[in-house]
Amino acid sequence: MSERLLTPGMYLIILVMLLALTVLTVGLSFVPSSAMMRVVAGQSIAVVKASLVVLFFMHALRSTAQTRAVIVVTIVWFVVVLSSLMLSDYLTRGMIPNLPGH
Amino acid sequence: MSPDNGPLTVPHDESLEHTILVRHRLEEQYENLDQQHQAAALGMWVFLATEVMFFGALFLAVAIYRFLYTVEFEKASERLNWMIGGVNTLVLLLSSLMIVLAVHYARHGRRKRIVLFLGLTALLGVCFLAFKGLEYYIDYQENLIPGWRFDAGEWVTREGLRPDQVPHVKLFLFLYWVMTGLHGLHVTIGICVVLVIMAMAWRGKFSPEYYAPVDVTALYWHFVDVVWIFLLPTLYLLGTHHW
Repeated sequence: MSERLLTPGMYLIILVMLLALTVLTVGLSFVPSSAMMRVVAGQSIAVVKASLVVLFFMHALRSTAQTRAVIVVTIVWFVVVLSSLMLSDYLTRGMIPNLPGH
Repeated sequence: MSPDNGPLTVPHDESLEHTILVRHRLEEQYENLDQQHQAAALGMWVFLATEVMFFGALFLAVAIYRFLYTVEFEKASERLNWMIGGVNTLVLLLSSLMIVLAVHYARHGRRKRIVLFLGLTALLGVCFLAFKGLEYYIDYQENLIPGWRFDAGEWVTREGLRPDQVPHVKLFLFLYWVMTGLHGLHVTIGICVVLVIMAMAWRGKFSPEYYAPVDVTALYWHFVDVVWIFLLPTLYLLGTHHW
C-alpha cells in the first residue's frame, strides 16, 4: 500500500523497546509505592507500548487520512470522552456531603 | 464494426466478469488494487474501533471498582500469577513482530517467508493459549474461581479482609475471568484467521500488488496484542509483589 515503510531491523528495535518496557512495568510492581502511583505507572507504560504497536507495527504513521480519522475518533470519543464522563461521576460521589441518594 | 465488439457478443470469459461465479482480485467498485487495499484497511480499523468500545467497558469497570474497593482489588490482583502474565506479554509482543515481518515479506512477494512468519505467529498464539491454560489450572488449584472453587474464609484468615469485603474479591476475579477469557477467544479466532491466510499464501495467492488480506489480518492481531498490553497492568499489577 504505502512505499516508505520500516525495515525488519527497525521492527526488531521496536520489539526490543516493547520487551524492555514490559520488564520495567513488571519490575515496578515490586517497588513499594502508593496505590495511585502504581496505577499511573502501569497505565502510562501501557500507553507508550500500545502507541509503539499502533504507530509502527500497525503502520498508523503511514496510513491514509481516513484511517487516521478513525484512530483519532476512537481514542478521543471511545476512550477519553467516555471514560472521563464515567469516572467524573464515580470518582466525585461522596465529595458533597449530605447529598440525597449517596 | 465486427460482431465481436457488439454488446451482446462479449467473449465468454468476460461475460462472467463481476459475477459471483468469477472472483477477481480487484472488485468492480474500486479503481485499482491500492484503493481496494486502503478500503479494506479502513474497514478493519472501523471494526477495531467497535472492539475498543467492547473491551473499554470492561476496563472502565475495573477502573471504577478498583477506585471503590482498592484494598480488595489489590489483594486479589497479588494472588494472580504475574509471572505467567508477564511471560505471555513477551510471547504476544514477539508474535506481533512475526506478523509484521509476514506483512513486510508479502510486500516484497517472498512467498515462503510469508508462510514461515505467519506460521510462527500462529505458533506463538498457541504458546500464549497454552500458558493461559496452565495459569487457569493454577487458579483452579488456588481456589480463584468464584462460583466454582472459591474459599471465602481463606480471604478473611490469610489475607486479613473483613467478611463483607470478600464479595469485592469475587468481583475482581469475575472481571479477571471475563476479560482474559474474551481476550483468549480473540487470540483463538486470530490463530484460525492467520492459518487461513497462511494457506492462501502457500498457494501463492498474494503478490506485492495484492496482499491486503495479510495486512488486515495483521491489524487484527496487533490489536489483540494491544488489549493484552493493557490487561497486564490492569489485572496483574495492581498490588505490590514480593519475592
